[in-house]
Amino acid sequence: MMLLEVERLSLRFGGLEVIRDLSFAVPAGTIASFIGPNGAGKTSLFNLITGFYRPTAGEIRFAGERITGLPPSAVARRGLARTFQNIRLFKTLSALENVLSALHPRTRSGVFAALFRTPGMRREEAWAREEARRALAFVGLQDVADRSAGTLPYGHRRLLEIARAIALRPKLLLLDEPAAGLNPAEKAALADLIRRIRDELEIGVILIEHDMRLVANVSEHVVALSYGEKIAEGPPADVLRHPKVVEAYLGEEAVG
Amino acid sequence: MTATSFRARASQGATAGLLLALFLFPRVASNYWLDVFTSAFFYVILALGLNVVVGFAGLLDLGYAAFFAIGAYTTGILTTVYHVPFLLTVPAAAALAALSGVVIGAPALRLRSDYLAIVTLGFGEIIRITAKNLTLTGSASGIYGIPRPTVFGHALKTQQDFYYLLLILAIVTYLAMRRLEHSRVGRAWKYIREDEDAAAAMGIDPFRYKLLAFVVGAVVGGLAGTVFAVRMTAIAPESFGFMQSVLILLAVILGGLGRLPGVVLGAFLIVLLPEAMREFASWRYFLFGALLIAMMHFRPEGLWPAGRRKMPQSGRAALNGGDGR
Ligand SMILES: Nc1ncnc2c1ncn2[C@@H]1O[C@H](COP(=O)(O)OP(=O)(O)O)[C@@H](O)[C@H]1O
Ligand SMILES: [Mg+2]
Repeated sequence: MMLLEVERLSLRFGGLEVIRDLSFAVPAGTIASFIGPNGAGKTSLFNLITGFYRPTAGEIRFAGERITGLPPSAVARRGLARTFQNIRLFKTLSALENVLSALHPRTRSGVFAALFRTPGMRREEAWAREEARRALAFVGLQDVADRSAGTLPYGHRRLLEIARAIALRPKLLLLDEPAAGLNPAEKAALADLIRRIRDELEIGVILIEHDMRLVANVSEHVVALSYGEKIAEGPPADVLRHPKVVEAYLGEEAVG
Repeated sequence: MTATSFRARASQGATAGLLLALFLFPRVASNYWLDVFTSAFFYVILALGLNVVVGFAGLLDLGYAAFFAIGAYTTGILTTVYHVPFLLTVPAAAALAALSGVVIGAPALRLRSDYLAIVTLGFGEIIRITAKNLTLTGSASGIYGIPRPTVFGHALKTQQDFYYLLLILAIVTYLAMRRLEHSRVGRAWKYIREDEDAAAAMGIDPFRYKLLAFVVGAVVGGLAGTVFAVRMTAIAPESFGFMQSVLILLAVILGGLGRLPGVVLGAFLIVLLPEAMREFASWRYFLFGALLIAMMHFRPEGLWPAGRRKMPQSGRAALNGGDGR
C-alpha cells in the first residue's frame, strides 16, 4: 500500500515556480530520501505535505485520504510528524515539556479538568509524562529531561526534535536535514536511530539529506529534485549515479 | 537541605506571612487603606485574567476593560431593572462575557495576531460608547442603586466585608490560574507563544487555543465586573475606558508577563504607586507611560526575578531553509 502519494503538485510564489508538476509515491514502512541541491524545493515540499504551504495545483494523499489544504495541526493528527531544518524547539521549556507537546492529540483534559484536578486529569497527566519519557529514552535523552531545551548542545537539540516527533506516534516522519552539523559519530548514531524508528516503532521515514553516504546507507527509496522538478526516482544505487543527479550536484559545486 | 528546597520553603514561608498579614490588615488599617487594598485585589483579579491572554498565550489585548464592563453592566441591569438576586447574575455575566469573547476573538484571531490588538482596541471603545448612549445602561450617568449582595445568607455591607470578599476571590483566582498554567491547556498556550508553527506540527490547533485563552480571560474580566458593580453600587461608562485597559495591561507587563507572582506584584504597583505620589496625581499617566518605556528598555521580562519570558510577538520565523534563511 502507498502511504504517501503526491500527484501533479505545483507551488508558485509570485513568478517563482518552487515545485513543478511533481508526482511520486512512498510505500508504507519505507525509509526514503529527498535529495537535490540547495534551493531545489525539498523543504517547500515538506511544507506542502504537512499543510504549512498550500499547493497552487495538485493533490496529496496520505494513507489513502486526501490531505491537500488541511491545516498543519489536522495533518499532524492524521499521523504525519516532522522536524524543521532550522530546529524549532520550545526553547525556554524543558526537554520533557517539549516532548509533552506531542501527547496533546492523544489526551483530552480541558479547562474544567485542570481547575478541579479531576482524577481522570491526573491519571492522564501521569500517563502523558510516562509516554514522553519513553520517547526521550528512545533517542537516548532520558538524562536531560528537565534541562531547558535551549541550553542543550546542538546534537541533543536535533535528537530532542526527533523525540518530540515520534511521541506523536505518527505513521510517517519527515526529517529535514537531520544530520546537518553532526560529527561522523553522531551521524552513525543517527542512521541507527532512523532504522530503529522504522523497525521498532513501525514509523515510515522520509529524510532530506545532503550526505550521500547517509542517504545510501539508510534509504530504500530516493527522490531527486532540481529546480522544483523530479529528475530521478528509485533505489539509492541507481538515483545517486543518475547522470542528471550527478550534473545537478556538479553544477552546485561549480557555483560554490 | 538542598538549595532549591530551601528556596521553596523560604518562598512558602513568605507567602504564608504575606497572607496572614493581609487577613489581619483590617484590624489595623483605616477605611481609606482598606479601600485602596480592595482596589488592588480587583486589579490582581483583572491582571490575572488578562495575563491568560497576554502572558500565557502571547496575544495583545488593548480592550480588556470591555469584559469588565460587560460583567458590571449585566449585574447592574439584572439587579436594578429585573430584581434578579446577585448570585444568579454571576453565571449570566460569565456567559455574556464568554459569548462576546467568542464573537470578537473568532474573526480577529483567524487573521494575524497583531489584528487582535486593533480589534480589541475598537471593541473596548464600542462597549464604552454604547454604554454611554443606551437608556438600558443609564447613558452617561450609568446605573446606580445596585443593591448590596447577600452571599450564602450573609449580607455584605461594610468596607471590611468587601475587603475580605475580594481578598478571597483574588486568592481563588490565583490558585485557579496556577492550576491552568500547569495543565495540558496551559502548556498548549505556552507552546503556541513560543513557536506557533512547531505547536501546529504537534497537532495543536493554534486558533482554537488562542480563542480559548481569549474567552477564559473574558470570563475572568466579566466576573470581576459583577463584583465591582455590587461593591460600588453605581457604575458609569468612564470606569471602563481605554485607560482602564491600559492600566490592567501595565500591571501584567510591569510584574512579568506570564509569571503569576509578578502579575500580582504589578497589580499592587499600579494601585499603590499613585497613592505614594499623590502630589503628582495629574502626572499619574505620564509617569506610568515613562515607567512602561523604561521597563521595555531595561527589564522587558518584568520586575519579578528569573525565568525569562518574551514579549508577545507577531510574525513567524521562516519555515524554509536553515538559520532563518
Ligand atoms: N515562503 C516562501 N516565499 C518565497 N519563496 C520561497 C518560500 N519558501 C521557499 N521559497 C523559495 O523556494 C525555493 C526552494 O526553497 P527550499 O524549499 O527551501 O529549498 P531546499 O530545501 O531544497 O533547499 C527557494 O528559491 C526559496 O527561496
Ligand atoms: Mg531546505
